[in-house]
Amino acid sequence: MYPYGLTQNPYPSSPTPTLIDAQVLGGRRHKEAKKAVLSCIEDLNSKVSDIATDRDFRLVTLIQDVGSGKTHLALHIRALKEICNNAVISYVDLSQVFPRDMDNIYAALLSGFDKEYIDSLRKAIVYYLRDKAERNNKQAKKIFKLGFIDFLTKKNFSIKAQQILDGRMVPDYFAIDQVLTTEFSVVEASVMKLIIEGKFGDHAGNIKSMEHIITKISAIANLNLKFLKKLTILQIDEFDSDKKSLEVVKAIINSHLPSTVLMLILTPSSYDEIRKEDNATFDRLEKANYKIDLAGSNTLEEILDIILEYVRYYDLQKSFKLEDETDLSAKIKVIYDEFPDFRNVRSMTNILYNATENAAKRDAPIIDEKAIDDTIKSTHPGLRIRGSIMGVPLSDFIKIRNSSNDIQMLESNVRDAVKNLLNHAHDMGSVAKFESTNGVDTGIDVIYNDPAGTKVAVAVVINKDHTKSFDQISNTVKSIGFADKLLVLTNAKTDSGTDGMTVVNIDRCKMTDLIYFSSKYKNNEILHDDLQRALLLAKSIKLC
Amino acid sequence: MSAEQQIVERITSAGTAGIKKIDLRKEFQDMEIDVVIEGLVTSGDILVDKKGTAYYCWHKDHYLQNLLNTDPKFRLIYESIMHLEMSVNKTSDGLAKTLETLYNNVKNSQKSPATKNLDGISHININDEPTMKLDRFRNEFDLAIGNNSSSIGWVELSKVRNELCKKYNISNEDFYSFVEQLTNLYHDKYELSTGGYEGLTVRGLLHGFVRCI
Repeated sequence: MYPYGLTQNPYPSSPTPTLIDAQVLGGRRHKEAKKAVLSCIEDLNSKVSDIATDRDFRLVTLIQDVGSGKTHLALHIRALKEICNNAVISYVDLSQVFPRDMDNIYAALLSGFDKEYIDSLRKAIVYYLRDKAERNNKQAKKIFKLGFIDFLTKKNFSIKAQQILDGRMVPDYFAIDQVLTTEFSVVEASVMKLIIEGKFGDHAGNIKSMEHIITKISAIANLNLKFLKKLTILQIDEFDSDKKSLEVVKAIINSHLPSTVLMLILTPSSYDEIRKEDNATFDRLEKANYKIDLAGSNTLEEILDIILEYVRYYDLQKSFKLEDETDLSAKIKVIYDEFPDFRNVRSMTNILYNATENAAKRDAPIIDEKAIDDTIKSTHPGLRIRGSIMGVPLSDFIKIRNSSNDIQMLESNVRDAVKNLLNHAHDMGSVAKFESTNGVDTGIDVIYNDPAGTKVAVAVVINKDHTKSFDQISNTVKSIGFADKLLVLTNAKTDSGTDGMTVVNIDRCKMTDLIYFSSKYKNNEILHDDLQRALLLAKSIKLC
Repeated sequence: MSAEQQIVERITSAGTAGIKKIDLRKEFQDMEIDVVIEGLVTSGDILVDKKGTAYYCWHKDHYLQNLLNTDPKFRLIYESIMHLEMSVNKTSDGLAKTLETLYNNVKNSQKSPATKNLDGISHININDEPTMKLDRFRNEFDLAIGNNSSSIGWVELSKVRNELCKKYNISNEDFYSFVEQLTNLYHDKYELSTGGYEGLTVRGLLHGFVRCI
């Protein structure tokens, strides 16, 4: 069983999205981008009449960095019902097209259409011919070769049409030619014949020129509109500044393919390279009808929504409660804040996939700290919390961070930690005489003698409101009479030290280090490595 | 519409195939075709060339394409020149970058006073604190992004670096240290993207583009 009562791991395991993964779409920005694409298609659909013209062409660009969800969005759109009802899509990943010549790009465009579409177009064309035959069109009747025996066995055009579709009968192609060329252009007729023969993608090798490619795609778009009442969408992913790809795309844009949307998916870097390589194509891209922008696709808010959406999507039993969402969000926030490497949708889903597997193996009901810690240790063994001297494991870091939301508790924990650290320094001989105070009246938490015999008073001042901290620090100055030197440890981000008073700013990471050390110290879990680290930590905050 | 405009329009509509001069003469019988064409040829708007036995007219925008389509020798020379131009551009870009790096290195070494240690060996202090504060840098950085950004908002970090380092006399190292701090502190305000020739390395990838969200 997977965490949150899920029956499967909701996160994608492959580095690039698959059609199944792309069923889930989270994130406000991604959803807005989807809405923009849908609106473009809806707009074009409302403009297109029965006969498409070259005014019915739209160019859409989708530009964002690698791993931010562009391909995911493209695949998600491809599987949407509202798209399937109104359009047919050819998805081409140019990174898989090699060598990038005209023929191969065209072949990729053809194989980008799915089988279901090709079958439905074939069916529509055969039924169109059948209807013609039934309306007593002499040439159309010849196509189905309905003979005397068929008449006796009560076979009609519908049965014959089905036999053609099932591949049990070869139609009269000469008659098909005769029928089609009266109503369609030569190219359209030849494409239709190939479709009937079940050889839709086979003619890619016969391409002679760019013009030829354009007429063929144009014919396909026309047929899609005529027979299926659908627009044609060409999605070209990983589009870059390669000369041949630029030429094909430029030609497609220039030719204004009828009832077609050309969607180019690329990175900002490729966009810039196109600007440098080919002004004409760049100018056309600049004038795209829709420029889909996934700005902020790697922000915490966006990543959180995407991560949670995966669980929500597969949570059929509705076991994923609000408190689980809050808990998982807090953990993701720590990963996001502490590791810049994971501030990216793809990296985060990868971590979550492995963490979910880890939690499932241990039958953990949620994705716990250990699952995340083990995952990061195994997948990114070199990764450490930034600035941590004690080498706090991520699991402890998450726990300490979450428990530090209560500022009073945090202050009390840091205070205890400082005392424990000084105890440890005393044990190690780095600090001489050591005494703890109650700190209530004086603001002093601990007094010790450093190796030189100087009496040092330490005050811990931690507040959410930094003004309060400044007041507290000013008050502790009055207590300087207790010692030769006053050391204030604070989160107030101030350097207002005076004669005899040293202010040390301790950031969140140092506090976590202190609390982690303190916990180990109290539980007698200090190992050999920790001894030196603890002294280093004490030195870093000028305790000794 | 003037006679010249009419003829230019007609020639333009013929595209890369061009139009026979004789056909123009037939079409515009009431005009002094030769005079008009001569004027247009002088102004460079149209070009006249012999194709077979007839003279053809092309609009200047289509003539080059016509030559590329019909004359393989011309096409080969044209492609060679384009290739040469591209490689010259790339080389000069590379040269400019090297010169800039050298210039910055020299500037940095001049800025950092050489000190002598106890053994009398000279060494350069590389830990100089940047002279600019992060807040001020942020303002200037935002401004530079705004000034240099493309229609989609992205800017090459090298462009911004060029501008700010020159303007405020800061080193490349300081610039990228500031950018790293900014993008870490305000990760909901800035976005980095992979690519480019220089920038910050995140997830082992060079991120050479930036934009404000």
